Amino acid sequence: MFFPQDNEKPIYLQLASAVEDDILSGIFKEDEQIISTTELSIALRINPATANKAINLLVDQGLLYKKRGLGMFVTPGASDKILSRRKELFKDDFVLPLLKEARKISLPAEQIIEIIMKEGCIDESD
Amino acid sequence: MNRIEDILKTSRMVLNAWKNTIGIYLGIAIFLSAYIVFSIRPFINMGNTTHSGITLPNIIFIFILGITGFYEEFSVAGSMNINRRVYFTAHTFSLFIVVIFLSIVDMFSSHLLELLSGVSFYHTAELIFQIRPDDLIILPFIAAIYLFAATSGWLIRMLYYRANKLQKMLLSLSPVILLFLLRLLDFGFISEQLRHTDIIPGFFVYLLNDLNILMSSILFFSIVLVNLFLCYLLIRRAPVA
Amino acid sequence: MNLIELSDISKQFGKTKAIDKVSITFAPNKIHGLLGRNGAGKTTLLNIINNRIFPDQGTVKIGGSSVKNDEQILRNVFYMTEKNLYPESYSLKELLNLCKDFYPTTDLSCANNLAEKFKLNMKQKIGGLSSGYLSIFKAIMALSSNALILILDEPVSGLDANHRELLYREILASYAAKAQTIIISTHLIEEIATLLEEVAIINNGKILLQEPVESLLQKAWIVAGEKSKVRRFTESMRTLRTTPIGQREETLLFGQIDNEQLQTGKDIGLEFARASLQKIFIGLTDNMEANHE
Repeated sequence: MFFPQDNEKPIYLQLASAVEDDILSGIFKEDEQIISTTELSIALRINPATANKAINLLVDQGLLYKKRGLGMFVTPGASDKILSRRKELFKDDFVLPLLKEARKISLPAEQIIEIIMKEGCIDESD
Repeated sequence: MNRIEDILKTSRMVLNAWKNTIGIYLGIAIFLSAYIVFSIRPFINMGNTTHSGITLPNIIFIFILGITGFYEEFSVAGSMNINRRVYFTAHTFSLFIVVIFLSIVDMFSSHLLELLSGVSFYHTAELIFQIRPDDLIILPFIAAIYLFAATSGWLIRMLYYRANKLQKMLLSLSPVILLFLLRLLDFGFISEQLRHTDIIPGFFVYLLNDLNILMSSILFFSIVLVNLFLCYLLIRRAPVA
Repeated sequence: MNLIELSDISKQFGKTKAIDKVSITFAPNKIHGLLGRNGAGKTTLLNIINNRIFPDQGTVKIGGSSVKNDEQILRNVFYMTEKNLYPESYSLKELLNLCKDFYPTTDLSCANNLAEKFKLNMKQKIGGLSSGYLSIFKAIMALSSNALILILDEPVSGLDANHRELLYREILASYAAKAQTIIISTHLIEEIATLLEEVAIINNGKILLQEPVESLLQKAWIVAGEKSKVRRFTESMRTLRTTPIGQREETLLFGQIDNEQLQTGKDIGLEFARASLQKIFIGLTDNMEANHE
């Protein structure tokens, strides 16, 4: 779990994002328990309330569910939910800023597409 | 966590802190007492060999304990957020315990030495009041004297604790200043007959009230109450570090 | 409830106003930071809360009970002072047993565990400890006491970096395991920032602000760019600190910037970054606020 600081986002959002990443990458599998908020807060050296906020956010989004007395588990289908949400946000979070920078340095669209084609998008194995 | 429990626990802490000092002192005092007594044993038949036990050393010791037994103990209690009133009660109670203990040791060690060595024992009190050895009356008397010494020492320490730099200096110099003022008496300003050497012994003579040992005990005990009251007033606003 | 309330507290030492009409509350079951520069009044304030010294005016209440009158209420508070109050001749074991006496909730096995983690030899006397290990011992006592309220004054004073990290984690572990109110006073801001839920900043005896860390961090920005552009952008805003770098200027802003303004700023070539708690603190306490004419 990578936890960068000094972002524009508050810590709990960064943490929620990092947990989402781990769900996507399969570190936290469906119907499996994730690390407790206490362990999270101690490992990352953050206030438990912050860790709780991040986890609660993911619960509200339907990505995690709570099993009484045991802890937090990954909801089945969470991975897909995250993927589709991120795909929607992809344009605003990544493409628009890319285009803005391109405009700044006067890089035409054709060259952008060329670079993208050369670097390749995703492996066909998905 | 009720009050009585707190007072007892604090007293235990205080007595624990004092036990080494008391033990070492008693060890030395009794040893020296025995040494002296057994040294004069050969001279018994020459007449008038007596000993008066460890009463006087005890008075000095407990006076010093009153002075030195406050600061560290109060700091530890304060560090654990023990209330000042609770500490005051515990400290007073601890002094009482030590005084009673020393009174018993005083009488007991002297009688034991007398039995073992054959050297006659006349308690200091007996010498002053010319009474027959009667433990029941002497015990409260020496307890009162010990308490007087202890609480006087404590009061001096409390004054020092609450004093600022100037006040501390005045406090240290006060015996000198007092003696100086008393010396002025000798120039005949107030009375032709009164000399400075009359005042302090006179004060104690009054307290000792050689008519009645019970009365004397009461007088000393009254001063103890005054000392304790003043210590209480001083401890109420005493800062912890 | 264990709400800590200070009302109108003032304290003067000679001519210096150490605490100047402070009214503040510390909500229960949170980790609070009391941040201030050296000599700002942190220790004085904490001493007053614990009835170690007396305010010239004002009252301190814990859970509704006045700290001055109620004999028992402070027994729920373990106060780890910066100054050492323990006599040099006392052994660590003795002091822990005393802690158990006066704080019945003390967990001695927890204390021994912590001592092992910090490699503290319990068979020593107070006089034999280095200043760092004295802090460690005091912190271990505080954490093992399981008191409802922990007040830690400069808990990492003298600790090396490894021990500091260890202590922060142990504080979090203790807090996560039970309902506890913790107040940490320190001048090491960046290290402690992520542990805190709420923060109060004291400067020259006055409380500058008290709010949740999260909302405070949302209120500060660093705006960087060409000097005139920056100045125009920050015209009606509260700027705390400005650093000129040639033709560029970097300004610490204190205030909200909504997304529209953010976008506008970015469009004209300004760069924006969040300010850290430490930068905010320095900006607020440096007395260097710029006034835009």
